[in-house]
Amino acid sequence: MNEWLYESAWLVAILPYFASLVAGGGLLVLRKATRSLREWHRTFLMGSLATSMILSFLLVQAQLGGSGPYRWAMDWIVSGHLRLQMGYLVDPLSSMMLVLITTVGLVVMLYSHKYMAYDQGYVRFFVYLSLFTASMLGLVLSPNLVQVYVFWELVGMCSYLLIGFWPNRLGAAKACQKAFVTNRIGDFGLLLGILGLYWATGSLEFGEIAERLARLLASQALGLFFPTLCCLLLLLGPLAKSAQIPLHVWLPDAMEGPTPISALIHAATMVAAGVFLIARMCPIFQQLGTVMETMAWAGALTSLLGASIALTQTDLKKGLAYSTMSQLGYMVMAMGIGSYEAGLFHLVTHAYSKALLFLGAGSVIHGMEPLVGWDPAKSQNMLLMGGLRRFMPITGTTFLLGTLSICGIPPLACFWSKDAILAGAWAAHPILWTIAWTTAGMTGLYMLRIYLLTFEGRFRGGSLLPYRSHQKAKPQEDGGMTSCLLILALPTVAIGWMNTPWFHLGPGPSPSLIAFSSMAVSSVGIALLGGCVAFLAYQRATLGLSGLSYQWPQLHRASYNRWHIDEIYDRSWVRTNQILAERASALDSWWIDGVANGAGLIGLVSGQANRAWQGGNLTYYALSMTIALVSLLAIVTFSTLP
Amino acid sequence: MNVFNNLSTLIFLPLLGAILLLFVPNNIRLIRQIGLISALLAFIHSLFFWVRFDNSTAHFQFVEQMNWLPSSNIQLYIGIDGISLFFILLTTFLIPICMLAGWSSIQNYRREFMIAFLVLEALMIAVFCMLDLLLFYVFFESVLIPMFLIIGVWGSRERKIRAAYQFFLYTLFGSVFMLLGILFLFFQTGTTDIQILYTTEFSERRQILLWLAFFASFAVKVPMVPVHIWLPEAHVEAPTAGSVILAGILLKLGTYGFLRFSIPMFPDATLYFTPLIFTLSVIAIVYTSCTTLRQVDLKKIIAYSSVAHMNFVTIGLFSLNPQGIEGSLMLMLSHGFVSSALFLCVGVLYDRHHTRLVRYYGGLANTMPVFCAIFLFFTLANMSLPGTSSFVGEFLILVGAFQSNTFVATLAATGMVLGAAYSLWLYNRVAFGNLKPHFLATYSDCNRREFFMFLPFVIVVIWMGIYPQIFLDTMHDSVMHCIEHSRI
Repeated sequence: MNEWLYESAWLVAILPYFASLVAGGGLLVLRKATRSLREWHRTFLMGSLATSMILSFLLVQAQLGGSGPYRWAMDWIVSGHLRLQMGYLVDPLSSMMLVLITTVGLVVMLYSHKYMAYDQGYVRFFVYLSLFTASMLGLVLSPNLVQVYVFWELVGMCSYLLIGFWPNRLGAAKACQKAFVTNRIGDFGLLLGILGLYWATGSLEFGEIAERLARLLASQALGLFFPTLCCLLLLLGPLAKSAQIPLHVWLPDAMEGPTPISALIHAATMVAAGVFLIARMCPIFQQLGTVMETMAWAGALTSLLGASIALTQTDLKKGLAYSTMSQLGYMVMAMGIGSYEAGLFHLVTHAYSKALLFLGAGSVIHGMEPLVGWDPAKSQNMLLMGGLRRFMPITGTTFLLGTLSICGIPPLACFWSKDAILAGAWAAHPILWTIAWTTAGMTGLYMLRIYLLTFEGRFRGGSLLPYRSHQKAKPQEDGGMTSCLLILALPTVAIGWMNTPWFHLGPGPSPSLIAFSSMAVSSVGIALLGGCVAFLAYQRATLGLSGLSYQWPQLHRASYNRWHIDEIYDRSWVRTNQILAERASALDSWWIDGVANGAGLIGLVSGQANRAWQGGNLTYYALSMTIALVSLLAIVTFSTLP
Repeated sequence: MNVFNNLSTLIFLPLLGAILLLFVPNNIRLIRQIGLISALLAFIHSLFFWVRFDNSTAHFQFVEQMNWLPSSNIQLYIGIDGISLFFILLTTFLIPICMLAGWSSIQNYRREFMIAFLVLEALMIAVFCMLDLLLFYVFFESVLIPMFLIIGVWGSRERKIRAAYQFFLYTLFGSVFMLLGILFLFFQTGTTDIQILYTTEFSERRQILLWLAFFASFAVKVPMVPVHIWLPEAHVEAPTAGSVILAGILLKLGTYGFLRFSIPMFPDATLYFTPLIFTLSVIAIVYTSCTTLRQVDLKKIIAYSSVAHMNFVTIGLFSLNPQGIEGSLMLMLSHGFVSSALFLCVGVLYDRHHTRLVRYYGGLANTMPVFCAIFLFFTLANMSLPGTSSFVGEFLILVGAFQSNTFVATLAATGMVLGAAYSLWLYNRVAFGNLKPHFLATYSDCNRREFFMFLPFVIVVIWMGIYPQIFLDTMHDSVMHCIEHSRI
């Protein structure tokens, strides 16, 4: 049974690819027919993903059953001593990711059926979704770095396509470009890192590189500098994908895409790919202290930065995006301090909770749009929401569940994982722990702020309603969407229980009870404190946080404007590049005309000069004959020299 | 039957078509069909050579020999190996598509248009299978004549005459030095047979001089900075089909020349000048990528990005290891498909709206979805997305360059980031945003002819991206042979 299962594991990634290619090709060639058969296409695409999901569950079951990792690869490119392989590797890490991607992917597809129901590009959307899921599955199944790179770029491309799904939105066009180019900077580092590691160790397999690197370092054949440099470059890839400092700027802008995409790609799966790759590379990174430290600090700073920006955002999705950034920071930090299990655990719990939150946000936006207009600046503006739980009870309740989970309130999913990370940070470095702990408090504050502004209080959007007759209209939730929210609420509540002091799934020791409870008390305490501040400020209005922002407007503005990091990048990098481009093209056009004019000038001058020689003056003729003779002689002597 | 196994048949096939075209009545349907059919026949015929090609040897295959100038010991000597085979295939692949590109947009001198392309095809096939240096030079130069006419006659604006002159003068200027070099070689060795020349050793000083003479010619063709400026000019003024040939094949003549002549014949000089090539190439990659960001003309953007890609190729060639050279060959082929297809995309837009300025376009994703899907595909291929042919080439080149010079590889890889920036910038400007109805009044998506013009490109690019081994296997032995020569 297991043998057969492992041999067909490649189907997990290939099935959705195949489905998306068939449907995508149909869209290109038989446009009308494909669009009119949209139900059929949706069923086909979802069916293929569902098959993948079943296979993934079987694979994870087999892995938990204790059968070892399974690896299969074939030669893809052979050139000299270089052998690039393609294949798949099934181990606990990849099987866990498979389940995560297929389940979230399927729920998001189910949800999109309603969310995108009236969109012209309905089939196209499903094709992109399927293509993305397939690439993501290919990425987590990769047995070597080259395959990782291939799928890494492909998921980036799908992200580009999906952020720019609505071509009419100028913001979307800018955002998808920004996302791709920022990620390309990361890919640039990733590629150089891969090449460097290949150069140093002669291998592209994760295990082999680690082994050979250890041997090289032990025998002093290789200094620490070069592998550290390579790994730092390589780290740029995960940092860009997972939106970490300094390459985090693309993620909030990516919210221009349709909301189901934000849930699937920019919260649950693709942004976690960086964390996944770091986990895969852990045996290599662990040998290099600098890399681990860099990772830990980048993660910690990102988590703090994300949380501090999320405090003041008024756009619902952007607030959630900064929260995602902050939580990803937690994961990267966990990787950096060596607690891989905790980081991966947080990856899973956060994925479900954040997907739930984003889909909830989608439901809210869907409800708001008919009332305030199809403009993201209005339909996603929390200042125009409020009191929505009365109109959308299921959305409100599940959103609250997600909020509490992200805040780290027991017994919801993220509590368990965040606690494990905090415990790891405590053991590693007190300052890291302080940052993480402070961030936990801020998480409580901003998450509850989002929830309260959106769902509690009184509805503030009424004044904006375009027509008087609409003023009676209330936002409504859609049954199809809420059922997806209910599905996701299950793992949001329960997935954390797979790794508690009392019960433990998978390898490794379970956390000790004493360390656990001391951490739990402190982290829940600070989260509750943050939550209370939010409650007092936004529900009761007894705590004048707005007064705070009046007192220090710079601080508020800085946080609202993302600490001006985007502007600084614009002014430094982007501007430098623009000036460089301007100069280069000016030089080029000057050169084009310069050469043409120069050639003309030479012709003119030499013509004038020659005129004197052709005037019938015998002396000149004699002189030219002499010169010619001498040069001829010189050439002959020169060419007969050995 | 035997006659079909001859390379000379392949060369004469398009010529026959051209001669036939001279005598048919002035019926445009007939003229087009004869032209297209003879080009397609040549393509099918060239595929036979790939099928019958023996991968296991580095020797020249399908060799034919004929006395040409017996008094001077110069022979018409043709044959192909794993390197030149693909250039011939690329040529025969692109010519029918060029004809399709000019199917309805060329309104005057239609017969001559077909003839020009058939003659060009014959000349280009001849260049790639010549094994005699002097005759290589003859055909290398003669390609300029039809190309000059194509730009000058079917070009779009008044500036075309100037562009055609510039194109002609630049390439001729470089070639003069090569002719001197060839004469020098001939007087030294008494032969211009390259297989003999491969095994002849020259002193280092001579190698350096000869290398420089050849370099002058090939560098203009590649083109390398600072002699690249004829290319954007020529592209902008040429008709779509001319741009396709220019980008698809003529640029490869330079890199092909490096690989066929400079590297194996002058190994010491090659090593001596490798830093020069690397420096020039890196400058070109960064400089032209930056320049691309500021262009406003669709064709210029693609032309400048061609320069960047071709300089990537030279880096791979001069890294002098199998990965680098095979990567270069892959990237040359890939560039031949991808940039040709991009020029065809621009041609589709130009045929409809008669402008190439980016600012008049916008929001085409709404009105031309099929076109935008195709355009996006080739844009992504141009920035070497994995799964497309360019990725295989660029990755192999970077692997090769990393081994020979890490610093150069790092700098070259920055081209990746800049490439993504300008490619996406272009695509976003054309496809995204709002329509500009006061500039573009009417819209129509790709028609059937255009769709099937692009389809072969899509198939080949994906094929090369997913299963490149079949190409690499064919070129491997020849490349190894070339490297061994350069190590002597």
